[in-house]
Amino acid sequence: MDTNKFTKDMLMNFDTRVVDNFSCISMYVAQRLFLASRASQILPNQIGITLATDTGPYQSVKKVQSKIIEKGFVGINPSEFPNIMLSSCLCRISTYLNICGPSIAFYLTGPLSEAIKYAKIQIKMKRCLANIILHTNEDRKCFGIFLEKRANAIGRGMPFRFELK
Amino acid sequence: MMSDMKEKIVISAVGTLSAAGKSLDQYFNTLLNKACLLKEEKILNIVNAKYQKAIGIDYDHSMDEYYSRIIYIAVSALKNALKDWNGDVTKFKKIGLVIGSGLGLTDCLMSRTDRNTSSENLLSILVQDISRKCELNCETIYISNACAAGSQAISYGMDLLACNENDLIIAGGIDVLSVTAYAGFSRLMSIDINGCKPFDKNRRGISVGEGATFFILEKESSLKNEKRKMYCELCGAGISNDAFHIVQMRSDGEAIMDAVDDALKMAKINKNDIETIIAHGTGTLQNDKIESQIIKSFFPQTYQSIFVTAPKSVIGHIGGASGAFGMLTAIAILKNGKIPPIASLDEIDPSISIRLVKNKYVRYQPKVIMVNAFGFGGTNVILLCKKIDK
Repeated sequence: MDTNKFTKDMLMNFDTRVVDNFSCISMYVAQRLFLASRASQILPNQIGITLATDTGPYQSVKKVQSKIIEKGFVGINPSEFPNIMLSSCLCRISTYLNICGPSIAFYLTGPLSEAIKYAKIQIKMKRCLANIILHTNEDRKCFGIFLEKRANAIGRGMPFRFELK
Repeated sequence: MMSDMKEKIVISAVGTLSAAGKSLDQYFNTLLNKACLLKEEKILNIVNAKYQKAIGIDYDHSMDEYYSRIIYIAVSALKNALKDWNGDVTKFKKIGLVIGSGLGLTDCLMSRTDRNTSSENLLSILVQDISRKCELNCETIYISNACAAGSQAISYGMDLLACNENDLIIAGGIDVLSVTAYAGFSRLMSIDINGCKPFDKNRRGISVGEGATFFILEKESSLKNEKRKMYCELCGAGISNDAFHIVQMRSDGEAIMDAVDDALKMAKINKNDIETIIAHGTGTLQNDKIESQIIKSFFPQTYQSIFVTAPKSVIGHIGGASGAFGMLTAIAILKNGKIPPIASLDEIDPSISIRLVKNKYVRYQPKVIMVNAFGFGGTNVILLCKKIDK
């Protein structure tokens, strides 16, 4: 999803007032993957989330820091401060979709393959059966993949496009 | 459900740098002597000095200073680990550097008013720069998952070795005093200006700290015929997510208990074999209460005999590196046969009934230690390490 085409009201049944765009677009793409994969058939603790980014929540960091510079510590909105951490975006996705498996946030300086490798390894190590992989960059776009253990996908009658070797 | 580890993964070197010392022994002596470091006044002085510089005119200077500090601490600790290792990196074909940091280079953006690609991607360059300064030819992985980042780096390092993706791993965590973080935690009313007091009746919040700790992980088989140390075996890791709240912990602890369960299954260890726990123990009302309840619920038969200690009482909360410092504490305990006290613990909260180490260290040689890390955002990482019988 391109951030130019995304608006917060595309995110259903969620109060987005103090939630930054970085989180909102990540949640939206994750939800679409979740629904398309019928992931509600999988136990919550058997689904993980892998969030990868080059920029991080850059806008939120700049916003909080500009408040600190203008008004000192008291200028910060305590409800918006957590937006500067990638873990907040992870949490919003996991809470929104009730996902309790292994979750991680990476900063990338290379290809998304590093994040895909992590998700694949978590499935291989049997920490989860499926993993939602997101690559979100501030003011650019969010790209997502739903990765699942082959046998589990077949068992659920889910078609798949690619197989990771 | 958890995968069995086919071959033992061991920690063969340790490197650290913090106010508690620049070696394992120095660090442990500081914990044993209950020296509470980085008093609030000193922290505020450092943070305020950084803040003053950040709003000053010469932003490049301010950015360089913060960047230099974090790189210096990370590189020093990493070089300490390589020195402790005393091995030859050229013998390894695929080295991985896995680092966890909560806020990393966030403060570097503080004075940047320009908006360009180099600024936007600034937050992601930390680990790559560390590897370059150490002249390491390796893959770099940067985990940024709040307080769970360092533990998660160690856990992922284990996974990479177990899956034969790498043949040598350097894993750990780094975080430094940050104006942004301090400001935010102050607004969240999370800081105890009298210093954190984990599990104490009068605890009011966290203290902040800074430092870096790295470990060298390798398979036991790569140590055959090599004269290198083996500090411990990393035998299990469990990861879960509370799916509850961005800053609060889920009070029923269900996700944490899932993670403990997974770690035990991976290690093929019975829960009754856990003899010592390095608590996350932040000193907040909520964390310590929930953590103690979880220990009691999950270990109903042994919770009164499991020793629990909390290093944040000495070193403060080092953000993303806190789990790595937890593992450092565990290794020091396995090496020395002593469990350090919780330094600032005066009066135990009456609602907490686990066995906290108070006043003086305990002479005890545990075989298995559990290290807890519960991050903002709900990621829980449980690591298990085991003493190696020589």
